[in-house]
Amino acid sequence: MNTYQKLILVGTGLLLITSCSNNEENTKAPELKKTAIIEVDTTDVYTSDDYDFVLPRPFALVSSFENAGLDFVASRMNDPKNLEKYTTDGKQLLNFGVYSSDLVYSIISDQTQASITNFNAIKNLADKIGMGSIFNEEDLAKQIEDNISDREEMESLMIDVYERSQEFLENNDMRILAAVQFSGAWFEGMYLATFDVDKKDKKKLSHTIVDHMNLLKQAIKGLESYKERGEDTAEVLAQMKELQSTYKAFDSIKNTKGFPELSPEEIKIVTAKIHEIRELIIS
Amino acid sequence: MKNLLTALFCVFIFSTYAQDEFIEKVKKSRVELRKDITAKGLKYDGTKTTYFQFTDDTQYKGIEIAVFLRDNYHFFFDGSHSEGKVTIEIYDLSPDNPHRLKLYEIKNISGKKADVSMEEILKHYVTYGGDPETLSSLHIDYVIKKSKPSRGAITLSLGF
Repeated sequence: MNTYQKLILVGTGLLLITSCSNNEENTKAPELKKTAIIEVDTTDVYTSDDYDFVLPRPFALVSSFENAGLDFVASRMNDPKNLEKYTTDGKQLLNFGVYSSDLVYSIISDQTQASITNFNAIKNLADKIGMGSIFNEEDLAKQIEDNISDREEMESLMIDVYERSQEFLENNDMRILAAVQFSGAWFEGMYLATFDVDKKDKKKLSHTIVDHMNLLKQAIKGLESYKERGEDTAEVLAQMKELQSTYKAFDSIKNTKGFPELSPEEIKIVTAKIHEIRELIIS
Repeated sequence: MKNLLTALFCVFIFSTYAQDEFIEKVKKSRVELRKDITAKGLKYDGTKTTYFQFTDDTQYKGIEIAVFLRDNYHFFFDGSHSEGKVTIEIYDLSPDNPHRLKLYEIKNISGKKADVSMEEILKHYVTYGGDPETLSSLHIDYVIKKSKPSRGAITLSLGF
């Protein structure tokens, strides 16, 4: 809420108080004089939670999978035709994250056309969510369009997109929604990284999955805090919790003394569950 | 009654203006911190500001960071917008774990900036017998010492 909105709110409140209290003034003024105390609440929306989490940026999330192998296959990304399906806030936020990861996937794979398509999908969803203005500042959209094939420059511009969307959500008392976006971005990254698992170095892939599974609890917390989630987002949350329970019950996780190494069978189970949840998110 | 309401209105306006001014200053410092990172030849990877109120009691606020995503994170802290004392403690595990190790400490960041690299933190971790490969997250505690009531903020920016 900006200063003007606050002033309007405070002003309206005071007008209401004044109009009510003027009628009472004649009869109750002596009592009011005895009890009147001015107390100003100095807390505000900018008092942080006692424990918080730095939400990783989509660029860091997706590019961290490069070492474990990340081949580009266009059909694996979320089809922009699906945009029309996302009519609830929850689905729009989750898929804002999904398309953000798809954009990073396109950029690091030097796929200019796919990058443009995914960027347009993000802009479309930003408009639907009500934060399309983030692209107007300093002509961010044009900067992105001009640099879409330059990985280095795009990495920096994507951080700008992410920071502006976070700032927008913070300024509008919607900090929780940033965690919903993160959940979508995280699932898309995991989804893209878990194709052709039989052909990949199992040790590297296991290490990457175990590292990333530590982020699942943050994604769950994010969706749990989002109280206005509809049925579709609630189903995604239920499936995420199921994935976490399945993962925690793996022998390699329960019995580990050092860093766990998942068996090929466990990798397949995690992969199947991630692909199932991702389908739910984009459907 | 009218005088009281006028006074209340003025206090509200002043309070609202002061709070927005504080937030704007913090936002500017976030931009400055990003410039500090790029000036050191590093890439910027995000920011987290923790806001609080100094009170008569010592308070704790914390943040968790996934550190496996980049090869060598550098953590840049800005305590310019904290009048009271704030100590930064960096641990390998969350506050509810009794076995956690304190890997780094910055005593009183108030009014200052400081930075530390993951490489430096890992050296301490190895000294304690830890395996760097297994350290996927860091837990940062802000120990906010008791002080006269005022607003405060610590900003953490990540470079790599």
